[in-house]
Amino acid sequence: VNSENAKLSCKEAARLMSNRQDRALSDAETEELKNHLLNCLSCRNFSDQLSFLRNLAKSYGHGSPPPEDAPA
Amino acid sequence: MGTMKNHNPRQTQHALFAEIETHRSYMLRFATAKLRDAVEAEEIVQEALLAALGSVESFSGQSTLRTWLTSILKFKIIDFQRRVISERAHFAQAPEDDDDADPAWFDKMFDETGHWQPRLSAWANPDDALEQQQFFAVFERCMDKLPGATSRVFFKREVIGQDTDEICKEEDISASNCWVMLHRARLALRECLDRNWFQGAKS
Repeated sequence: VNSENAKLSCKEAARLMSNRQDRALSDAETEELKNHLLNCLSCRNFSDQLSFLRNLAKSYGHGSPPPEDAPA
Repeated sequence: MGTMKNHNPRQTQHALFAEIETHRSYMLRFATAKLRDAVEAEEIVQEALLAALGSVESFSGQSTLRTWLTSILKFKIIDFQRRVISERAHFAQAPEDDDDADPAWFDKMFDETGHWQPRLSAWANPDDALEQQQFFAVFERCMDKLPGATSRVFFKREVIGQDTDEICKEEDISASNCWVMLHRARLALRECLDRNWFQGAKS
């Protein structure tokens, strides 16, 4: 992990965004990530795409989209 | 989804059989994630599909067809695992990725200061993609490109929705190893979807 004062890099921010889907982040991690996201468009896009990926996998598990009507 | 508004019962059944068949590749992935062995997975899916075809009347249409098929498959897998456990000892598979070092493709996504290279742009209308079968086919191909254990862990976490503790136990890995694998899977899948769908004209 990072030394206290160093700013988060995108690489580290990406790891935290992924991790927060699997575990609770510490207060320090949450704070650092929040600050990074304020100033980083790429990482905000990544965050949206991670949420999308989660929805995608979930819909896939439920069988979306419905198959086109199979010819009888 | 699985409800056919068709009044000829034979035709309805025929259509339902055809629709069940379209879920085979999903079921295969589910079974492979759970069993690790592709040949065994194939057999179990075959058993589950036969069982499903034999009991289509019990499909009420209250859940999606995929959910119904998956519940049959789960029973078949549990049944199979019980048989196998009594037959042979369990050998843990060696992890295929060194979890300390990031793989080269991973490092290439960031420059030496840890910034994205290239920058990530937003995806246009991603929710529209969720309505398209072609997009799900791309998603399957992207999952197929992940290394075996990474792919299993991702499937269990995000498609099946298992929690990480359970996955760690099943895969015999540490929690941090699990998080690393999930992160790599998500990065790789994001990149793959970006390249094969969201950038420019979809293939």
